[in-house]
Amino acid sequence: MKKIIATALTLGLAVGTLAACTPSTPATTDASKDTKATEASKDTEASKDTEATKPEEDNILNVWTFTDEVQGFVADYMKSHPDVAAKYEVKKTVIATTEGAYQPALDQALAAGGADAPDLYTAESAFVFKYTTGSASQYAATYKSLGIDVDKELGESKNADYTVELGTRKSDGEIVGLNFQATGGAFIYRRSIAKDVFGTDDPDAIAKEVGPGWDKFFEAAKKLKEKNYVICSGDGDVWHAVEGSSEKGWLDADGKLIIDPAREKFLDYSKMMIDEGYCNDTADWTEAWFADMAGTGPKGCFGFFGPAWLINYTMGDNCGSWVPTGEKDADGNDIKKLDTSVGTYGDWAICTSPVGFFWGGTWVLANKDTDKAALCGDIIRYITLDTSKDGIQYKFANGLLNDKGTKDTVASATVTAISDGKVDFLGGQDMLTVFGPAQAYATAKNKTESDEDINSVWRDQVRQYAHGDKSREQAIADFKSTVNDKYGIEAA
Amino acid sequence: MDKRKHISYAKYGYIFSIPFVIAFLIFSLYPVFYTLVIGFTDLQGIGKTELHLAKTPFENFISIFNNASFKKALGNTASLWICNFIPQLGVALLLTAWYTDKRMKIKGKGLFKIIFYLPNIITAASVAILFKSLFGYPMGPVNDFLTRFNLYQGTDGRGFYFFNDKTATRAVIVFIQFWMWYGYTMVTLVSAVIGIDPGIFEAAELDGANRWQQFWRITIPCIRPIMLFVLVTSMIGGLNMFDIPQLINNAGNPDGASLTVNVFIYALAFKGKYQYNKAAAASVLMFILIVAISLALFFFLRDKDEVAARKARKRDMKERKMQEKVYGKAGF
Amino acid sequence: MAQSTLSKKQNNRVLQVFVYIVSVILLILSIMPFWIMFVNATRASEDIQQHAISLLPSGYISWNWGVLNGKDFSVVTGFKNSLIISSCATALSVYFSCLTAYAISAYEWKLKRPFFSFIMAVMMIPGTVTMIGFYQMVYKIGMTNNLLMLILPAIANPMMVFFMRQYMEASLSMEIVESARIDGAREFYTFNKIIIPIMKPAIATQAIFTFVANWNNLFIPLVLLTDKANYTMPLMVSLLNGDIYKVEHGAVYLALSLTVIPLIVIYLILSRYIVEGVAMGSVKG
Repeated sequence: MKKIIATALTLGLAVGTLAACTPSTPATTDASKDTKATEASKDTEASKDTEATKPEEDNILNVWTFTDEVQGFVADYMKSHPDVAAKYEVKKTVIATTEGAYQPALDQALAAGGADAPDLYTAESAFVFKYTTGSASQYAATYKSLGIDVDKELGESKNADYTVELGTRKSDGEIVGLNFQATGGAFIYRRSIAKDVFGTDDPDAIAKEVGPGWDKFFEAAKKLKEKNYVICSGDGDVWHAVEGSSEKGWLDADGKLIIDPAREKFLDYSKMMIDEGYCNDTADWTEAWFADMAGTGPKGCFGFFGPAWLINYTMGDNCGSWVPTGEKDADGNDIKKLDTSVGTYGDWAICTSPVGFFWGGTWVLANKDTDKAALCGDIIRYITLDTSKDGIQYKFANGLLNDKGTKDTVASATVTAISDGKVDFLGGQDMLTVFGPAQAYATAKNKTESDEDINSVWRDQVRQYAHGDKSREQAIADFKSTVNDKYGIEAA
Repeated sequence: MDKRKHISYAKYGYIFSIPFVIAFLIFSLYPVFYTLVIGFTDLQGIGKTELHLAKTPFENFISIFNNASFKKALGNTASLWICNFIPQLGVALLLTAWYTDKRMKIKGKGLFKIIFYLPNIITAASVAILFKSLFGYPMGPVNDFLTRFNLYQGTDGRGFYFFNDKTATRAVIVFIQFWMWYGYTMVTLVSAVIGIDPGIFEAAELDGANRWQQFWRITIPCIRPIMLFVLVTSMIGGLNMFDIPQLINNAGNPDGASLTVNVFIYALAFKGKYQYNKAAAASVLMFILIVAISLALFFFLRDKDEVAARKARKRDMKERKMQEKVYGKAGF
Repeated sequence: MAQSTLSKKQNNRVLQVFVYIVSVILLILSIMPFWIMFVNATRASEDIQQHAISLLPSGYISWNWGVLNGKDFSVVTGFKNSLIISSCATALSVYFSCLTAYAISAYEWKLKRPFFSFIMAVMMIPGTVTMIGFYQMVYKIGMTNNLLMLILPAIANPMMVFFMRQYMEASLSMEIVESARIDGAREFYTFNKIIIPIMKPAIATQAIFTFVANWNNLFIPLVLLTDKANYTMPLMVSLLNGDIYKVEHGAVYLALSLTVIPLIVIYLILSRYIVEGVAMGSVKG
């Protein structure tokens, strides 16, 4: 009996597929457009007279993202615009960046076009270059074409320069993407260690101890070492700052590999940190790294480099001060309580980083072929340019979008100015006094399309050199040859 | 209709193969053909689909041949596979011998047989996370153990940086591969042993064959086709090793120690300049290599009796046909 | 073995103890990751971040369950899709691989050897790059978000055909087919009613392997299934994992545990065939 069902099922499936395949035999994109058009016409009540190149207007807004954060913003927009919400249906597509799946899927969907193509999509700082100015920038709509008077509105919102720069398409100088979250970084340090070593925990004084520039930073490292502290958890922490502050990126104008002197110096910094014991030799996102946040690493760790989100989502949870009370809530969960007698909660402060950098961020883009340009423009404006207290950025900065009330930093300096950045985790310090200027301090001039790939090879070779496994020259030579072998990028 | 007997069975060979062929034609032919073709083009970059022939037909292949990372990846892949396959097959065979031996009373052998396959059902991603934190540095259970019992202290008592050491990184990958697949191999071999006619064992026992003799004289020859299967598929899987090295890469890839050919091909195709053409060329080269090794395996492990039997069968068929011609129809 | 000498018995004893020791070590090695996974499903995210491996459960399972359900997808849908894809693909693979293998083993036909070589060759094609072509094709025919694209290709599973063919070579005698023919059975009937039952141990093992592989398949669904109504369980886990700024590790492990439970159940059901020696009396000539 089972077998009969199986056979019947199979036959049914096979016939279905064959039928579905028939129109595709010419194997051109026209075929797929036809099938899609028929699918779409089911949704729309009447097909309007549209040009052949433009897909017909439907009521589905396709939003592609890699986390549900921006999806939440779109939902928030719909909630505050019930008239729009009544007319349009949002179709969410969330594909994680794990295993690099988001980009191939997005690329295919953008290239294929049609009714299922994304109207709005997002890109993370690691790959946003590709979509705003790199090899996939041809799909992006200029903000102007979406009805946004972008120059005037940017003048009002004063979004951080680096976010605008990264959102600008180099070929025509048009803005195609903007960010809502500011990710300019600061140096985040332990107050108690600062008092012990430098006699003060004042952010301005500490900023002068650890910077500006790396020479002063490593002088401070030496002082910390005398009292058996390390300045950073691992060399990766320093790398984020070095990478972000270098004059040039990995590629020159011809797309050839170059090593900016500031980045080359990282070899020496890394080796010095290992040899001199200036760090606990951890890697980002490993247990040992989190232990340094809780102050339970082998040697007391003075600081981290990072933007506001690192404090909010990573350090806040891993500071070791949330201890189980032994009680359970109604659902049977253990209840955790803040206990500042253990861990490092409240023992942190931030000061200006020795060099300017940014880390992370999500840019919002629209498809140039979208049939809902005005709506896309309005949503983008709501997320990235609206400076009113109803806009996303104000809510985001003041912790109004989540239950915990976590405050974050936003791209718009205007919104930052009217927001309150006092954070208990930082002992009541107003983080915006440091993060505000930090946004201006960051640059995106050194970003290229292949940063993520090249960085991994570079970090590997640096690690080899720093741990004494190969010579400096050999490490650089191997770096260049590996990048060429794997990614087809020749050294200049 | 009496004629049907003996004559027209061959047609069922064709009929029963049709579904496979159709499914292959629909779902695999285009991708395979596409790969082959782009190996000869200059296709690079995201979203490009226009094909232009490369300036010289074999330039992608030549460039792969001269690519130092490809050679390194090939060496890594081969050594990673051999180092995990030999112990894997050895252990699986041993366990098969123990658990299928009716004379050895092992309580709970059913349970063991079942449990040993379990590592194979967890996704590679979870396995990688697990091992990354097991061998974490400077904090991790293995390093805690090493430093606590003073087996290895390292700099400042931080223990051993496993993923910064080429041998250690490879050893971890080899162990993971072994651990994930020995159960699979054992289950495959056990299913083959179960398929052997029990009567053969009974007869052997009556003849006074000991355990050792039974295993080598009966079990091994009987499961030989399946062992060939295990060897060939493990070789194919081993040379295509991808997810564990790729995932471990994030923790550490000291000087490309865990770079396998498929990880390399993936990097060519989906990273940097998106060199689809070179990735395709490397895939084609890999394909040729795998076919060559498989042919060698088939040749060395071919069952001489089987070959002889097939020849005899063919001869037999011919004779039958001759007889049919002579006598009109076959009879017993 | 009444005539065994004393030393032989002792030998047996030593071997038996040795077998037990090895088996128990391997048993622990095999169960440990599951234990860690289930334990982590009950732990808070930050605890997992700080110490990924713990042997003692904690009290956050319902919190993690809340996080899992707070996300924008339904676990039930994930289960349903995974189940549809895996069971259909497995059924198709097993049945058609047997059929194809039977065609190669049982019949003498002109193209038999070339066809078998062809299947072997197909099996050896490396998958990384052919994937590009597969996406392209699926996008061109507009069949993304169609579960059939993950099910139907299972009909052509060269590796399983190879296994079935090897298995038949080892344990299928043509005599039984001949005698069925004499009884007047049609070929298709013989295959379904006589061959398939004989192949049970082989089918069971291959069904387990294929089911597991399909259930855990991540990369193809990740790119092809973009509509959350079609998400599979591993896709949901990857989404939980892919949040860049804050990964809810506890919920990830809970999702992983939920993902693996059906596999264990199915495995235990099918494992009957690898535990008991299903005697193949029918093959005896």
